[in-house]
Amino acid sequence: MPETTPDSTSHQSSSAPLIELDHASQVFHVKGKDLPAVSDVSLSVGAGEVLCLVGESGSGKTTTARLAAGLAPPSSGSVRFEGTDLTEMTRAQRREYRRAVQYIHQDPYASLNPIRSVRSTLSVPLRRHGLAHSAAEVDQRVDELLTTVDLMPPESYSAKFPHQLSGGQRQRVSVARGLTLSPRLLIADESTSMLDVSIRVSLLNMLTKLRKEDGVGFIYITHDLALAKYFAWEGRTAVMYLGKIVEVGPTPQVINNPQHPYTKALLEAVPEPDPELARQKKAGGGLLSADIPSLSDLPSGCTFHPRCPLAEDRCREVIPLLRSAPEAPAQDVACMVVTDPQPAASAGTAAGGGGLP
Amino acid sequence: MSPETTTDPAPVLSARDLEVAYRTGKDTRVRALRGVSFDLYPDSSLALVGESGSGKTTLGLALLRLLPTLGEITGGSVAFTGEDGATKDVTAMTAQQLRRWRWSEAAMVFQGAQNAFNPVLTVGQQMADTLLDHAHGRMPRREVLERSAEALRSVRLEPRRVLGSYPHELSGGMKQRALIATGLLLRPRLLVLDEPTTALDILTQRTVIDLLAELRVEYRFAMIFISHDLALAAELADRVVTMYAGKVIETGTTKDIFTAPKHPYTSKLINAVPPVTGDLPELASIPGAPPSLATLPPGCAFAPRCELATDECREAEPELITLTQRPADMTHAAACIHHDQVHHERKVIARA
Repeated sequence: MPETTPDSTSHQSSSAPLIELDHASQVFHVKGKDLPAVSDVSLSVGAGEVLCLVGESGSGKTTTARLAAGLAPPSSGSVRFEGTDLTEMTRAQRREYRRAVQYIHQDPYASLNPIRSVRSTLSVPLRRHGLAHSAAEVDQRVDELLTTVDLMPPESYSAKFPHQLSGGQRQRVSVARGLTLSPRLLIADESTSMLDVSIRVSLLNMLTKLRKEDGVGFIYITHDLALAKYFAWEGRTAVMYLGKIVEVGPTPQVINNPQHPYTKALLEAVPEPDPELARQKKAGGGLLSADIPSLSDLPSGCTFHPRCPLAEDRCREVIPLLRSAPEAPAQDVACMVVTDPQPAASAGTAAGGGGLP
Repeated sequence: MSPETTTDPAPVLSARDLEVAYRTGKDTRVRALRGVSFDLYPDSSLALVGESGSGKTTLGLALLRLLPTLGEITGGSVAFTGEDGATKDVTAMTAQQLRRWRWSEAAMVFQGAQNAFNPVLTVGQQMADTLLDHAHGRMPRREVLERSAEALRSVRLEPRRVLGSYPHELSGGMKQRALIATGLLLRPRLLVLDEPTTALDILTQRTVIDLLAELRVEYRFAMIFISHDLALAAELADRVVTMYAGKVIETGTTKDIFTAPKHPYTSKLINAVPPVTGDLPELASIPGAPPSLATLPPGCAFAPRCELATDECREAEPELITLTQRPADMTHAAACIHHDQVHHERKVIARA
């Protein structure tokens, strides 16, 4: 199928990407209202690639990741694993997809079963997928996994229960569980948010090693652009706002030459570990309001306009689409003011250039 | 003129050899703070940084005598100098004195804004309680309302919206700001904030950081804030205290600490934080884990994780060594005998 999404990477290459979201949307129905948590998102990640999703709480980054992980079917659009739509998979394909795509959850306090030991947590998927048969094989694999995530010596951790471990150690068990089935795509959801800086870095370095040496693909979700910059420097970053991708491109370009006013605001907001740079930060990240609107009552036109320092009249009416930015061809930006600048005087009915029906 | 007599301002708070122990069993105790000394100067802000378990929160709680029941101050002193210039030892205050001192002269904003308010009282009621308690119940209703509203306005909250709201009706960022407003109600000289932005979203965090910076100028209070996020310290602090295993291991101005740290632990801690602007540096984790306070190694507690460690380090625990002769509020000191071998640099892996 020919692709028109500006975001999708070269599909013409011999093999399809590991995971692909094609105009995927997720609408939740809550108390008779429609909440468009994810709207028309297209993205793809191949082997050894990394894609970072950034945005505030409520921007739809976790829901997008859940779509990619097959934890929820999209309301519209499709999700493909190696070119096959998730809804059209055979049993065998589905089983392979379930093995190959793993999710590392946000909160290691909530996502580990408190009555299972570390060994038990790690051995269930091994047995379920027939990757270890005897107790000796399970032990050997569990030891390998714990060594990979730096829980050494493994024998002093495998019998422990979650409550006997620190937050950082639980997080590593969570990662080890994600690795049990030798996945080809790992989805890590803020998996480093509550950790001490040193533990956070060692986890990110470990994940990068998996990507480079074993070709594991990554979708990494965070609200901290400094972490996105570090982890996805060789990959791409997609900035999400109220369920939509508003800017996407190679990470160095998105971070160093941001185009969308929301990306700029997020960058301004990141605390800088350098007192000189920190003093130059703009108050409030340059936004008109600190609060994100509700999904149940989305603003008209560009949903970012009530907070946007650049908003023009046409932004209240026309929904912007992802377009290549004139000042930064590597990025796609959903902002008419950036992609289709025009004098304020002529901004009227003729301003439909940024938005298509 | 010697600089010591002319330029040294008197500290607002001065901790000396502070010791705190937690009871862990019938006859067992673990030392959570081991001889902590530092000074906090008027109108200045001090960041306490370090990994989980380094004693930062314990220190914050001990300064206001708010330790949980299993914790106890076992030695040292905390001298607080009020507006009137009189100095009191916080560790020797009676319950009655503490009650009067807290909120009016020293207030604390606790970790986890989500849970610090009483969920069954409105924000207005909780602010009124604070005011009335310190006025011995005698304050006209109109004045209570006016002062609460003024405090809320100072943190950019709409009093009419917030005063009658229950905590669950406010967003995380609004709750955090309302807590700061409550802390400032009685115009204290000292505000202690424990992880003030940890659970907040990145843009909300920015609002709170900027607000604290503004309020400090407007209300002229001294601030201690506890954070595991070093970038936050770089933004908000004049001075930084690095803690490790219950001890102060380095203290200096924010500029000194971030540009030329002299304790290998501080240097490594800074090198684990990714910057968002400029070149992409290599980030390295600190090998090993912080020691358990119950089984501290002999000598320097950081020695097992330190590449500079020698036999000398493993024998005796180093004391803070003053590195510069400057006015007291500018001093730089590190508890490392190899401080002259610490050359802080970031290895760049990609140019911006």
